Amino acid sequence: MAKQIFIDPNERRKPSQVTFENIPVNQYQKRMKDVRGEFTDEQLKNILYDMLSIREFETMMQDLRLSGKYSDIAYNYSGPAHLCIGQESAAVGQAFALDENDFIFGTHRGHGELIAKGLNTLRKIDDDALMEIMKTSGDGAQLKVVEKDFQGTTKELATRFYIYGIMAEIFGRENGFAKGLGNSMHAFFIPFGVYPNNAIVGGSAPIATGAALHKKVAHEKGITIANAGDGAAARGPVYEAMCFAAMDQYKKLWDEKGGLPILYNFNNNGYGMGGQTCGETMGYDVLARIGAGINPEQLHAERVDGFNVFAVIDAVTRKKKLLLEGKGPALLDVITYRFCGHSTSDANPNRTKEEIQAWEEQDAIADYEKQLVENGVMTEAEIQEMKAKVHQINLDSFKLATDDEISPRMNIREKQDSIEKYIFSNTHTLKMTEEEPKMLAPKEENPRWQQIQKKSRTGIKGGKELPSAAVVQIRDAIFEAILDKFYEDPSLISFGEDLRDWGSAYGAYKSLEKSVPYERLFNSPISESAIIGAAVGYAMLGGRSVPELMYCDFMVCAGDEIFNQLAKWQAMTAGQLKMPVTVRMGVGSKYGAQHSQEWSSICAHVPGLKVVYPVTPYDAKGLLNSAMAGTDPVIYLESQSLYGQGELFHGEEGVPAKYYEIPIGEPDVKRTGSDLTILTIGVTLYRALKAAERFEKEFGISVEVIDARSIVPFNYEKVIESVKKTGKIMIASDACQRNSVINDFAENITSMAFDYLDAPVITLGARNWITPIYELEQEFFPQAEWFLDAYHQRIKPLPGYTPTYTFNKAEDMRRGKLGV
Amino acid sequence: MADVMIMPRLSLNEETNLLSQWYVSEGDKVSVGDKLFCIETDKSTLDVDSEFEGTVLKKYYEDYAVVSVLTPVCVIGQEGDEIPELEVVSEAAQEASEGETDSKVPEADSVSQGAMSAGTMTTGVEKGMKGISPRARKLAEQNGIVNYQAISASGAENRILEEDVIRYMRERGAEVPQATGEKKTIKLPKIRKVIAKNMMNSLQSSAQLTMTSIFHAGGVQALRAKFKAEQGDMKNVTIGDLILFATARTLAEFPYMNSWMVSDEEAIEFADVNLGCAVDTERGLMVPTIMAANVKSLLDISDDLKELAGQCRKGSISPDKLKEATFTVSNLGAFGIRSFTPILNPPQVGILGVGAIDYMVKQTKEGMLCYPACTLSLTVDHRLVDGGPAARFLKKLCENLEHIEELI
Repeated sequence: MAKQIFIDPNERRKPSQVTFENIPVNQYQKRMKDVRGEFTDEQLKNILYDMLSIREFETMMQDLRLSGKYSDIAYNYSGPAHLCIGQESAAVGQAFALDENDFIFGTHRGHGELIAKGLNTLRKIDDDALMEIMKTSGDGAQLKVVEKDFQGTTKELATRFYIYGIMAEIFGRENGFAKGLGNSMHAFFIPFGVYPNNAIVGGSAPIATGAALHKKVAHEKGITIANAGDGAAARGPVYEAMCFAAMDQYKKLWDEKGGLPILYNFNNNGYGMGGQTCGETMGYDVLARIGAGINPEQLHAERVDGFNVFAVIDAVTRKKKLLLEGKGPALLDVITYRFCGHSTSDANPNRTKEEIQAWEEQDAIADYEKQLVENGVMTEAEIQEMKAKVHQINLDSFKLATDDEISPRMNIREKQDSIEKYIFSNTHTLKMTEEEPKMLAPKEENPRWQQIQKKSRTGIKGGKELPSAAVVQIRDAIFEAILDKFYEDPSLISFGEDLRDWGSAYGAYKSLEKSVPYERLFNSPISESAIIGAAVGYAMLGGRSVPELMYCDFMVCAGDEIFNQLAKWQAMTAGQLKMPVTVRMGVGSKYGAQHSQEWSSICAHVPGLKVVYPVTPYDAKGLLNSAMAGTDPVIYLESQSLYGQGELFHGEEGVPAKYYEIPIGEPDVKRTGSDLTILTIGVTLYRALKAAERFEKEFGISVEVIDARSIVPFNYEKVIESVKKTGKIMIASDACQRNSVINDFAENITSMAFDYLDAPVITLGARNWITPIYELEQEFFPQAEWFLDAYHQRIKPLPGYTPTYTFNKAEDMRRGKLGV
Repeated sequence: MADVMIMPRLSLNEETNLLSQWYVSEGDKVSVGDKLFCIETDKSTLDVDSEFEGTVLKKYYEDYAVVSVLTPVCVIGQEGDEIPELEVVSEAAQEASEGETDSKVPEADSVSQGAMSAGTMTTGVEKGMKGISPRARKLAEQNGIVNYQAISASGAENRILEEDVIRYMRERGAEVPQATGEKKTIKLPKIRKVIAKNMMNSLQSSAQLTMTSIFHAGGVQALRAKFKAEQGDMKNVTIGDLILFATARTLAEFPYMNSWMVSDEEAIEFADVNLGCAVDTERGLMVPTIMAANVKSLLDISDDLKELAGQCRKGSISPDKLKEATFTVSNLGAFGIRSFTPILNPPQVGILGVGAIDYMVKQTKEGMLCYPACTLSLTVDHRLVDGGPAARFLKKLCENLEHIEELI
């Protein structure tokens, strides 16, 4: 969506051919003797040390799961154990080429990268900085344990600190790097540039892409690496992430040209759990081939022999250089092999002993040891001594990490908020960074802003509704909030489909591009996973974003990113990471079954997401301001049928032009009454108000209408107060009735105000059907007359009233039986 | 339309009652209060009386049937009334039909009844049975309405709403007491004559003003219950004692209420509160005095009163103990009296009349609040004490009683 790009029919229609460069496969064949001069002895020894550390750690995990013992000490570990025995050289080679400014994102099989990157980075940090990191981590929780009786260098202390912290984390102890809330498949240590591992296959790809985006936008040093297995190459989000990272606009349209500094690194062990990605479950033959499908640079893809640590060091070093030159993204297909099963419960039904044996005979560690001896770097005895030392540190850490006195688990009975307090960060942070925000012109020069100044800020004058075009509409309220925020928070970026120039599907962003530069407001590919995943990664590095998904129907395309990533990383890192992400999503109308679903209830089900659904301009601006002033993920729903709605409730003032916030979680009484309470979510507010008019005029029933505004969190106080007064409540939402959050509301209200209820709590949701065509929507979504019909049949018969629709127990029973 | 008699629930744990014997047959005429049937429990038998007048049109059970509580037992109405079709499932019936597959467990109404009749339809499981909303049930229970089935239901699905209970209470409250025509002449005993003279003197020589106020008696009731439960020294302290205690303490702050109007020119304010306590005896009203009640403990006041009242009733009270009161409390609460106009004992300028605790309903912002209320009637001598100061004293006293634990 950029007018400066001319799609030339002559160019598009002329015959030609697409050509490909050759993709290198295992071209690097050097061994230690060939590169002896490029490494110091110490570096060569460290490489062995790090590989041995991983092997020892993983062997311990395997022993614990298979025999319940490590070094004859019994310990019952029943958590996951996706081990990388055999893959150590790939992890250590990668880490060798990186420093503390390079960030890696990993997989469920990520202990190797975690250990390798940490041990390598701690050697590159000076002792004072290292001590500071150790003192700060968990308020010194790990340091206190390992420094007791320790005599030695800071680096050795840091090694013990690191191995102990990882182990405590994996065993779910409060001294773990994430207080035990991350554990095996999600371990990390941010000060060493190890960002969270991810238990969802390919889950790190979109996130690492967002982190790379942050590095580019914020001009930070270093690269990011999305580690993945070969199984992940088939995952849609991985492909989406690579497309997102390879967008032409970085190099063609952005002020500062250059691709995202990200390396998609596939540790290719030949198996996606059991499925053989070469020969069985994929058709690519060579994984590196997929780079050729993404961009003309073919992602600089190549295959390297991961069993040769020098080949990995060489490849990662070269890719890092390309990335820092702005030539990213890049892809590596690193051949490796795991000697152990997918997990310790894997009986290897799908591979032969011969195959495993053949690879074991070429074990990278054994081969590397041989080369050390051959090249006179270490003697056999020195190697044995090193092995003993690695074992000793691992064993010491194991004893400490499994000691319930030294390394207890969270005591949730004693401190009931132990986990609860990490679900939301609840901070008030107006801007994430302090520098001057990059903008194109002063706010007052924005033509849309100027136009809004001329509009009436209230939608109602002298009791009459003003025409939509003359008033500040919901789309204007959203525009005002986001425009202000762009001028306030330099870290803020917003992206999604058709935002820039088009102004997002319903014009909320119209003319925003006149003020906001490309790098802060851009169009993305139609890649919902990448959009949300990138926002998650961008947040992990401290940036605020407002990604947009055009319709909430599309959120399931980003299901993992919203529900497993966005919602969970604050708690899974025990609050070390914040998620200042406000996801704008349209709730469609008129567009049928796949574009007109109200899915607030689905979002409300998953812990860790705040969910708001404002339906007036005043609420839309105030809640968006609050969402963008916090550091929690907020699902911000906008009704596409209400973008033109003016403010009818906020008196003379209407929508304030100045900044204000509405606390998330506070419902609002939109109309007061004494005989019946109606609580609404979203657009049902307006239908409830119509119903309230009829109740009052035709039956003398005074209705109080409360707009939920927020769904998570939700303060029940006002609603309970109202129910105590009226004794009767109806709750409405456009979400399909079954499992709608209105049922949750009903249950809580029933239990909180049981003795005050003078009738059953009535819930009015949409039918459990598909959303039909617009002309039939009134048969599907709750309408004003539904309130009267249900009241008549479930609360109290209305004199002389003839209901149109059936609301009784028998009908509920019938629908239940049919599942509709 | 015919009425339905419902099997009452005798205790919370009973789901069924044994209907051991019928006293009536179908076709019998019955009046309200006539015995209908007998319920047998493990511990006792209980006769159930008719709540309606008319003819027994239908008995759903024979003798010795197990009947679920709160379900219909029989129908009483006029000949020709339609008998509601009730699905009755008793254990006896179930036993009898064991093995039959067409069980009598009623099914939900079919949808074919449609929307048009939905407003008045009931579901089969509850045919003939009224539901009651939690809010209405609470109000009914607080007002001692056990069998709410007698309340007519205006809610959907045959449900009793709060407004139905209020209407029922209003209607039930309109009972007219009966007058008697008897009369006899009696000769007044001495004490009666003394009382008569004092009272007349009181009314003729002073300007008496009576005002009433109500306090929420939840606090004193709770405290009394606590004392009783603890079974300590305080176990016999009554609510009346608590009121005496609070009165004495409050009076100490209002010396003008603790005074004697000795002439039209002079009044005496007392530092000590000597509390006169009206005691009803066979011989007539006696008013012994608890000396310096403002400094006595609750337990002392309680013990003093018990002793003094005992002496009054036995007739052994020393006349000294009937003197020197600076303020009087008269408690008719035990008789269920709500409020009255106590008459001063000159030269005292104040007397407090204590009424019974009874439940009252008031509209609060949280809805209808039903609470235990106690009415205090204060008579003052307007010559010395104006309405305002008297009201301030009474207000303070009510507050102290509502926060009695803090006072103690």
